Amino acid sequence: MPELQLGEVSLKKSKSKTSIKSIALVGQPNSGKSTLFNALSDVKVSTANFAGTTVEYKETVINLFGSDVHIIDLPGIYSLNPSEPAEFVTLNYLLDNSIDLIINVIDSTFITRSLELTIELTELGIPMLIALNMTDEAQKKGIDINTEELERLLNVPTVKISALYRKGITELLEKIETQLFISPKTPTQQKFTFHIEQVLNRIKESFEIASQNHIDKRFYTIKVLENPSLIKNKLEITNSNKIKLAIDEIISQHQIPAYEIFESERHHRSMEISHKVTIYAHSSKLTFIDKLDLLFLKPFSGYFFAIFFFATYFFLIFSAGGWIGSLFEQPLSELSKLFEPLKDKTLLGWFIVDGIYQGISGAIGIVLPYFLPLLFLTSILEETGYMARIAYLMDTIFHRIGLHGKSVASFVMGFGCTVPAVYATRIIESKRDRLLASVLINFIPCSARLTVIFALTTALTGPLWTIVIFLYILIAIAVTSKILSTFLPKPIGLIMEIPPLRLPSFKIILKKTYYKILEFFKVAFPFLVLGSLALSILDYFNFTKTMNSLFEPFISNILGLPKELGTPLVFGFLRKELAVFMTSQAFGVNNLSNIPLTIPQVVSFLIFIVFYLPCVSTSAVFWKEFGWKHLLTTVVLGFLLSTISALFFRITLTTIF
Amino acid sequence: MLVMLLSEVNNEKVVKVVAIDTGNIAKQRLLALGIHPNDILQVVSNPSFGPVLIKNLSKDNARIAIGRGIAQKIKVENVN
Repeated sequence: MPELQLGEVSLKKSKSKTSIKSIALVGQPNSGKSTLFNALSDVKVSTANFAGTTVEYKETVINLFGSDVHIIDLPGIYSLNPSEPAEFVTLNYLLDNSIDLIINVIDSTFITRSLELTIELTELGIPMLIALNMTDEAQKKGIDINTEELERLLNVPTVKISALYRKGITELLEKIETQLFISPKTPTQQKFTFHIEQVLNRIKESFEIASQNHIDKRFYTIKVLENPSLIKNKLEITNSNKIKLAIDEIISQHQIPAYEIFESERHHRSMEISHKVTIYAHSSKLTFIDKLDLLFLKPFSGYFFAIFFFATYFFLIFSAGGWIGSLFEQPLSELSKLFEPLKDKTLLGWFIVDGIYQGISGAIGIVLPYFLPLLFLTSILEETGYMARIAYLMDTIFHRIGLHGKSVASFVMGFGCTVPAVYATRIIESKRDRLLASVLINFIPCSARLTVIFALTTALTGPLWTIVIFLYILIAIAVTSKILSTFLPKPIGLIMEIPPLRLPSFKIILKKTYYKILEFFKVAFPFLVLGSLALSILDYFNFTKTMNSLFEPFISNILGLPKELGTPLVFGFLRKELAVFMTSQAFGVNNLSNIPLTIPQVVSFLIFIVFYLPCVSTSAVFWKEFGWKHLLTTVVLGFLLSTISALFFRITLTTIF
Repeated sequence: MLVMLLSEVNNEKVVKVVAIDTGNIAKQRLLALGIHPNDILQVVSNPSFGPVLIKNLSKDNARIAIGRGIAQKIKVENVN
């Protein structure tokens, strides 16, 4: 056996996909799967989307004991009878891909509940390994788990680990080696009540599995009775009559739906196992964190803290953003002097270089400074579990405007970027709630639009108007939501776990931030530079004048704005933050405070730009997620909302001023 | 034993789940999150509006927020 060292775990590109062993990390949400994944991979991770969906998963290939091993981190799942879109992805991945080992990650402080998923996983008949995560936290709470006993009952090797503090990882790697390469153990099937086992036995020949794979036939036999719609595409029923009789028989014996019978059988078995393996010490005193958490959760004190945290959140973003921005100011203006002499040689050349320069400096000097602290702080809110508290507190208000409490996290994320925010709605079970939330997220000012609002109000109107604009946006979203939801059926109520508050891993927060910044440079940066270049070239050929006069009737007559704002609005479709420097470019001024706009004009312009169109990337994602009809509805809705709002401000403000 | 609705239970009170009379989707979700009949729950926070926050004493004290509408369909009884 090669010597075991953590340092040996290094990333290698897979040479041949077929021979390579595959490990899937499966666990309930917040069980620390991703932390373990990080601890195992730690080198380089590629994120990708599942085909046809936008649920993100992470995978990596590491070298273990001289062989390449593929590891995939699947979305958190409470049960193999899924209800959220992300959970379906995990189930289908497990059923459709060849997996050599499932590592079931369990939050040790939730051992009893987690064992239900573990029992469901044993039904798949794939070799397993249990990683009892957060052991240190469980010990603090007086919970001790007898791993040998658990291993004996399930025939699944079990290791205590703390992924965050990298404890037990070496032992875990040893067990992985045994399960993958030396002598894989298949889990013991947990038996149901005698007569259910009889029924299962009777129907196991009444269907064929469409594509024979690595999954135990028993799993499908159970699912045929328990949740037939879930696997109907994967089976060929040969004797549907026999199956129907079997379902009728067990329902008539129990007088409850079939899924409930299986759920409760597993539930009892998991309680039984939990009692056998868990030793509770009597120390259920509330810790300091528990007491603080109660303050976060109870109404009034909770709202107080939420307001406090969000005020701090925005304050930090804008003060850090301003500071980071000022760091780039000097070098960027130095850079612009370098190609100034070009102007005398070739004017078109200068326009091209300047267009590219404007794009780069806009991205680095205006967007990135705010984007960076925003992504960092949002990751902290997510990783500590505070976001779940916000969802819980806001559910009341959200419910009243026809939304689901679970959409709160997406809305908060929407202040960063609309694209990940639309993805984040995938945790909402019902399609109705998801669609409504996603439509409204378009109207939340993302960091790009926030930058436009802050830059222009700071330069031209003063902070009071920033507040007015924000309040108006929130009210407009609430009213739109209320109106839209009257056309839709009533939402399903909230059922959501409030995970314990946890100290986040600094490393994971940095990684999360890093990946999102990387995505910004990959996806948005090219659009910024190309958009700016296109504008500069059009400007050289005086085309912007044509474009401006094309939109003039709408922009001057309805919105009451100077026609020069036509170009920033058109290019705002590419990336909304382009609007800022394109505005200054359109008027030919270097300093934002020299833009010749009155306060009512600035306010209507900003309100218009927040609502009027989803940007290119958002439109693409929206199309993929909900289809072109819903995208079109959103676009029309946004255009109506923005025009009505801008008109409203134009009329009320001009009467005041 | 007095049967009442989860939405009517005061803060800190400990109750036992008697029946879950919600629709199938909500019921499956509750079961998946570990709330079963006969479980012992403690109400952590039940304000006069918004979701009820409970602690499932039978399942590792996991805390689950349950929307008011759903809490009105969960029957519970007092335990000491």
